[in-house]
Amino acid sequence: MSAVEHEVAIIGAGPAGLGAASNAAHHKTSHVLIERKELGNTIFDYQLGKLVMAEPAKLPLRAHIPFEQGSREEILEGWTQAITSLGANVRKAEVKAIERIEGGFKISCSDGEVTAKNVVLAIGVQGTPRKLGVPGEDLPHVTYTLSDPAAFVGKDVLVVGAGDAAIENALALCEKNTVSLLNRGAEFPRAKEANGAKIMEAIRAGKIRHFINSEMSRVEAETVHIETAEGEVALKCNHIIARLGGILPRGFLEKCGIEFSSKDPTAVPVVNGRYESSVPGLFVLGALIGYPLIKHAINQGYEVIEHILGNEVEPADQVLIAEKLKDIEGDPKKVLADIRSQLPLFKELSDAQFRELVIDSTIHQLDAGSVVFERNDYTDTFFSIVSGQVAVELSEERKIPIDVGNFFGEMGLLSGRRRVARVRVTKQALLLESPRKQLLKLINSVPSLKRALDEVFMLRALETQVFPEADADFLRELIKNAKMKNFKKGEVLFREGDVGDVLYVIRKGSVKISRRNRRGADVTQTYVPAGRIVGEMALLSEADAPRSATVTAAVGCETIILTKSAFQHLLDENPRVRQRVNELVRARQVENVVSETAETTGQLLDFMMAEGVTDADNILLIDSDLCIGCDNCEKACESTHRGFSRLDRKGGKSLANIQIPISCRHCENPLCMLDCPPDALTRLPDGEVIIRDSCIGCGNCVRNCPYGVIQLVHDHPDHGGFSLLSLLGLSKKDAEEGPAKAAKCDQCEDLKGGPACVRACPTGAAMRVNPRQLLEITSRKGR
Amino acid sequence: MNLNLVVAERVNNDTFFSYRGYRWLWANILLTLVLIVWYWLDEPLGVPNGGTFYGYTVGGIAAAGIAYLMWYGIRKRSYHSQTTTLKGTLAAHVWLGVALSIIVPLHAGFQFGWNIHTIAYVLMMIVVVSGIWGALYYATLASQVQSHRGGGTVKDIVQQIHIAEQNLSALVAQKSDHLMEVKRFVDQQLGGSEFKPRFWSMLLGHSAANFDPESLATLLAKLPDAESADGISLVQGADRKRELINRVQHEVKTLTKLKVWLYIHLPVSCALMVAVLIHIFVVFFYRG
Repeated sequence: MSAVEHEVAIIGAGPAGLGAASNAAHHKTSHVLIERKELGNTIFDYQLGKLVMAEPAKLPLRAHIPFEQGSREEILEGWTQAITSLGANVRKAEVKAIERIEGGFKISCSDGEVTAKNVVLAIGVQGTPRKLGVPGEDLPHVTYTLSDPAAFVGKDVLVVGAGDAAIENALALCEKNTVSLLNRGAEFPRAKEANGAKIMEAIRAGKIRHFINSEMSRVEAETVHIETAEGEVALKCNHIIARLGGILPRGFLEKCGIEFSSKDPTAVPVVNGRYESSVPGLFVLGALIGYPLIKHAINQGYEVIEHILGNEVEPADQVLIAEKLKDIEGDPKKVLADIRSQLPLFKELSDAQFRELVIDSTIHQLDAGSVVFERNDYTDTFFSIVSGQVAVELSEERKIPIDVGNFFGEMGLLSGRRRVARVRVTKQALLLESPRKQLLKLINSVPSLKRALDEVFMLRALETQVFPEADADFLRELIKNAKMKNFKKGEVLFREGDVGDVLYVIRKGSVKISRRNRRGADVTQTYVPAGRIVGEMALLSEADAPRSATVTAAVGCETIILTKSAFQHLLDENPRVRQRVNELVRARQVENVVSETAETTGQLLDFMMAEGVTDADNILLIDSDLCIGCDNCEKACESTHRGFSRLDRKGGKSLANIQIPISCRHCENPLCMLDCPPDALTRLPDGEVIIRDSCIGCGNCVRNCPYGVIQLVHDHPDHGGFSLLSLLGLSKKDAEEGPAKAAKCDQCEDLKGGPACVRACPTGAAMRVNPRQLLEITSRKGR
Repeated sequence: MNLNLVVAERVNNDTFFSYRGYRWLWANILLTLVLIVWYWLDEPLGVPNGGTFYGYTVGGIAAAGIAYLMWYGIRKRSYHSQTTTLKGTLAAHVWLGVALSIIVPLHAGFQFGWNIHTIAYVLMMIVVVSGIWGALYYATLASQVQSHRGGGTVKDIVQQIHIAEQNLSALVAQKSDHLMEVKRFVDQQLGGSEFKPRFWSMLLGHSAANFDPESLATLLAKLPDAESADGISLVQGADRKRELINRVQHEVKTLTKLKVWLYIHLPVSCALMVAVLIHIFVVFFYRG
């Protein structure tokens, strides 16, 4: 008998912790559930009455606590009842440290110590908000959430922060309370435009006192001390709400001895198939290891207890695996193992990661001759070859075979651009098609996967797009010395006059090229999209040569950097590459001599880049020479989209004869798609970015869109078309029901005649264009 | 470099007049010519009038045409329509409307009088003329709307005018009476120091002319040396304000013109519909 008190200590009573504690209680295993705040903390902090979704719908729930879609209150009540009736041992305390001791762990809590053989860490990331960092930050009237604005009446509240959460809280409270807002800067650059406007209005109207360029120095029971530019202010205050964002408690986890997959800030702790971290006996669950969904977390809690008790437990997703593999003969478990053994790229994935990958992927059994995807398709999935062979058809003569165990489709995966070549099956093949999002998640957590993909990315980018004439083996040597470098929007790759020493291959994004005109003003000349090179001119001579133009990232860019010597070596060894580069250089030299680019063209290019036109795949533009301002485009959009217009004509920007309304750009690299928990945002094969019905209304896309085109709205019934009632303004709007969902332009995918906004324009001012052609025209005509 | 090229290159230069090579203009010219030739060949009993076979036929065509023109109001709001674009429908609407002004007199055999029938024609002509008026505005005024070209909305400009006025007031505060006199002079030329954005005055007001240079020079000459620079700033600021006032007036006028003709076109077209119905009823059923 060991000297420890419990078999297992569970830290954190969110979904994962409750899943674990309920199962431990069910098995009558000696356990303790330690929580510093409330049971079900994750959703306890939600706003009152919020509807909680039970995604993913198909995954069975495996737990001794109930969980179905319902209101915050219903779910909390169900959990509390289950935990009480099972007799789970709950201890309300804050964990200070976890140390290894003989036979287990010692957990130092705010109210004493606990020892246990195993520890399950399920503290999530929401519980670790960024704190104020001043004396008094832990006083009871300092909170990091606001669940019920209605509970505050007549109080003196200080909201800290300048993001959307802070603004929304301040606005929600300012009608019935005396609200002050503490801002480190003077403005709200991180906030959504609408929020920024609302808060400025409230501040102007005197509803909110705004402390600018200020920091808090200390918090006391009734007062808070603020350092402003004019000196210290003591503000009467009986509640402080700090909205400074949440952080993954990496420091705490590392102090416990847990290893992370990489130094990347998005990296998560490494765990094995039993959720055991690099510290034996210390298990990590839920959001900490990258599973933000409640149902996943509950299931993991259940499973981890079975693992600790030494019970064989089939993962909850086994039904989904069996369903996925039902067309392949044999026992699903064996088939899964076979697939895994064929794919060395995924060797370092944990079992759970691999299973999730397979569940989210599609299995294709294809005969020789069938086409997997066509050149210029907009699909962005990633294919692995489990058996058979395919060929990448770059041209009629040039076909690159890819064999078992290898993969393809990775260019679409990272660059978000069209497929660069057709892929055809050459020997009957079994393919695993995986979604982009899933792969990106794995790349962030499995370093070997990232390394392997990076090399192949570089090789294939050079092979297919940039130097197709070059010998493949030669390029393979070349990339060993190549580097990858990312540039943020607006960052300069190099400046006119610098000494040129490297070549940049634009792998993703686009750059703008600008030169100084006679008066010394920097004038934009043109832009260069992904798949091209920049910086070659200064590299052709042996001697050091200056850059002839400044190159700036027009959007976020990924580049491959080749050194001058590697580039010259490439040219020496590949006469056809040399010939093409020479032609390119000559064309650019001619441009430079001929062009004294009109500043107006440059201004127009700059305007369009600032408005995200270079990002766009398809954009709504309005020709101001024709627009009569009737707003029929907005009315058409409203009528065809359930009573809510997804475009705002007046809200957009304009220059000369071009208006760019606030409307979806269908970006090449849609930031909205980055962080969508149910993967509802997706790109259709012809380039449209749409939001599917599985949207849970979390608002991530709204925050991620740089152009403010997505809004959360309630559905209204379809208008159908002309009606006398609507003409007279008498049609009644239905009551708002259910959660608000994300909405934006879908290019009227259901209307076969095309976007209603364009069709409803009486003068033909509204048009949809692919901006690449537009920009090429601008730069050509500008000379 | 002409910025228009950027757009013109890609969009075909079709307007709602020239839609698809003026197909609706040609169609209506053809229709009108056919009816004119027929009118010329037709030898009815008595004088040509609405009661002949020709008269009834052309009357039927005209009534159908008016129904089609009225339907535009519905079509404009049928946002799910997949068969035509609104621009194409507007092209047909415009040219058919113009054609009816000739077709209807053919129908009546050019018989006009003080009766309900002629009232219907007069109403129709009011609608047609107001429509032509509006179409010409659409074609010529769209490019003058400055807020569509990055020029700031009416609200923005009015705000800028207020700021300009605040700056001017601040400039003359606690200075000599001579400077104040310059201020009073420019204020009077601009119609008062405070700009009040009244719709009618913006719509009907004349653009403010340049300040009279001789009077200004006389006033500026009186300034003490210490304030001569202030005097120049004051005149520059006032000139900027004058330019803003003219801009806002121009914008309001342009935006109003784009809509104002509809206040005739729409109600009169409703009246026209009623008149046509009465006209048909009288012709066929009224036996007074």
